[in-house]
Amino acid sequence: MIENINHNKQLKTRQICLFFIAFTPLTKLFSMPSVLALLSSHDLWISALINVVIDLITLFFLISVAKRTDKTYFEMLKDFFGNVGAKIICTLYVVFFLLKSIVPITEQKNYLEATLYLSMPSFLYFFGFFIVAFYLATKKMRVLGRLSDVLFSFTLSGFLTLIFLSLNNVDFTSVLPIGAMGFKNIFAGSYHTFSWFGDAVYMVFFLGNFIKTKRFGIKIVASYLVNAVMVLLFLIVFYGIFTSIAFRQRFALTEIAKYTTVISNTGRIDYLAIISLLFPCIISTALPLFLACKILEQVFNIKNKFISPLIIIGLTFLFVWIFEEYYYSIKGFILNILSFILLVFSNIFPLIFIFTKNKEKYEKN
Amino acid sequence: MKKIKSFVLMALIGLLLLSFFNNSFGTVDIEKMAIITAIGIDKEDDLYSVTAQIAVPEEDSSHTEKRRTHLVGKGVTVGDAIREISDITGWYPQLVFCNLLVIGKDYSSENVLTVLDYFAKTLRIQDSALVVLSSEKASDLLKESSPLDAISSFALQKILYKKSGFNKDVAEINIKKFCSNYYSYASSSYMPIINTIKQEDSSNSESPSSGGQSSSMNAGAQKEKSSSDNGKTLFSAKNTALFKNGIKVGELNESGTMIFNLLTKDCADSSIAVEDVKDEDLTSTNYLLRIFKNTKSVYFEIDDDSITLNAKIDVYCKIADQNSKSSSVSLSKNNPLSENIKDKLKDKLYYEALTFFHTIKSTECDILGLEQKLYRFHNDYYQTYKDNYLDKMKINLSISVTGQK
Repeated sequence: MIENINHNKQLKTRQICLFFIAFTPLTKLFSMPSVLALLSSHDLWISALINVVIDLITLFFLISVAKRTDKTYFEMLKDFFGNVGAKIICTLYVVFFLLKSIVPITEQKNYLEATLYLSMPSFLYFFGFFIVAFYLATKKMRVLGRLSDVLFSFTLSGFLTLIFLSLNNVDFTSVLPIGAMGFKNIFAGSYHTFSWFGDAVYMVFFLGNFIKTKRFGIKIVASYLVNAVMVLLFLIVFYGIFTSIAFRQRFALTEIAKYTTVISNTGRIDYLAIISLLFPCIISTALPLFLACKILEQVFNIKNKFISPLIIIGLTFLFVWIFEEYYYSIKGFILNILSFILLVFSNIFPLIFIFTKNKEKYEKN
Repeated sequence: MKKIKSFVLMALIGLLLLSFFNNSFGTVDIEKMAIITAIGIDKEDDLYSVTAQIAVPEEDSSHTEKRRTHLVGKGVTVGDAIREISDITGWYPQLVFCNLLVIGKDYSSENVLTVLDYFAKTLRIQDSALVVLSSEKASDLLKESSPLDAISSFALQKILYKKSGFNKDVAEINIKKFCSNYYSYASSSYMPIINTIKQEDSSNSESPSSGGQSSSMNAGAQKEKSSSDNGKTLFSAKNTALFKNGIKVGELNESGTMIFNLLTKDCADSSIAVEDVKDEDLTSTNYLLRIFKNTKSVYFEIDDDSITLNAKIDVYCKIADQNSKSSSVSLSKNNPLSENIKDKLKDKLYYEALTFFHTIKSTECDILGLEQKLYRFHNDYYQTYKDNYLDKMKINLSISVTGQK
């Protein structure tokens, strides 16, 4: 048994495991499948698999760091770059999380507008999201653990219901022949959808903040793999249903289950599963904003819990409101131009933590 | 105090989430909403003429007969025509309950996707709605009244939307499937053709009522007599239109539709008639066979020099009826089929299957998705055969009929 020397840790290993299952698959179920289908066609799942493997490698290294030290990301950055250097890097991470949040927020906003409203709604219909995000950001990191404990069941039940309703209409041979789209298309799919991946970066901010149990690394990797299987299965089911017109299905979440005979007879009961997924999805979409707030508090040593949420959530709200008409340009810019930068911040830069010295070892009983 | 604060906060979040998921900001008054049950599209003077069949909610719940009305809008696009309906009536067209799309005969010679694509892309209508080709103008078809249901689209759905695997007679297809076929490698698709059948004696039938309630009415109760607008029209969807690149290139007759369904669907519970079977005493008997299950496979065998399509159908049947003068067997038992019945049905299916494949070849309408099979399972030969596989392929048909052994 591993005993922690830091009693102020806010998360448990179990909660991190459930975090990866409850939140990380969700933002990938909206428009990402259609973007992948456009770029990689029937090899969309291979493109996603590449991103999953990249994430898995980063996660593996971060877990090895967690095994060697109890330091937080900020403490390690200070060791490497000094206080000022650490603050500059953390500020860059605030910008990174703001950029990472834009596509999921706008696509969820458009999703609600297109699927749950008959006519063009007021902008205020999405204001509730920012209130929830603000409230979340005023809480400490342990709120993520508690939410994971509760909401993972929403994610799993909603996801499994949707897949169960869809299976009868899936043509699994539609993903054949494997790899026929060629490396160029497959890698293009991976590159342009990277903003939806890079989930390993969340582990950076859990470092030093969670109570390590026996074999915690295997448990976390296993839960990440559950998330990966969910995403890959969803992509295959999605393509198996829509095949040649998959690229035109903008919101996969709403589309995949509606062709089953049960729905023809009873109406859109799949919306029960969809709404079950939308609840954790609110948290999932707000995650980058939450972490941006926490980093901002760390960098500027902000004690008042309302200041950083006011800045971060306020800025995001204004951005989404003002640039609503530029959504496609902004999304194109993030997916086409910024993907590499997002890759650097989420998967390449965190590898620096493996050079952390092995000074603080936890004791083993 | 802390508990009250938490409670207020949670209530606030609950209210916000409620506003997040409900339609309060985008409400359309129910009285200003037209619930469209079917849409027909015709071509008029290079404009799209959209006929919307609208179910009008009854004010009096004791009145069983459904009311419907038809509104016509014209526009330069399908969406424009639907918008015009909204403009001239003040009703907001609610399309989520629209389960049927009728394409008028005028579009037989044009790319039908110019009509269908709107419905495949918009989220206002379910692309799981069935699509059919009318043998007349779509507006005329929708205005027909059937003894099955006063609302023609509901009567149509009764013949189109049977339980999965129940019907071998109709090659039903929805908007999504039609479009995915169109955009597939084969660019070929199909849809049922709706023909009207005039029933001379249907004026004596019961009044059409909601959900087939009349059949379950108490026998002693006074049944409603048919009103003046009671339908005399029934519909048939046994013929199938074939589309290549969105343009109608041919038709499958009733037998062709049956072979297509036997090759692609589960047709359990369907029936098939076999005529003129010579029994042991050399008398001719007609049989009705009930299909218990059909196993099917369609696959290529390919090498550098040849391409062969293997098509296999096996139907497992039992006798459901026969017109013999005397018989000692009970129809409730699954008795073994005689060799004569098997041979007769096998010959019939073989002939119809050959005709079916001849139609596919002659029209170049690959409704079996053979090009997809070529691409997916024989990708190395795809480039070699993709332009001429229909011409070059040899067809190896294997039809078998089995029954209780």
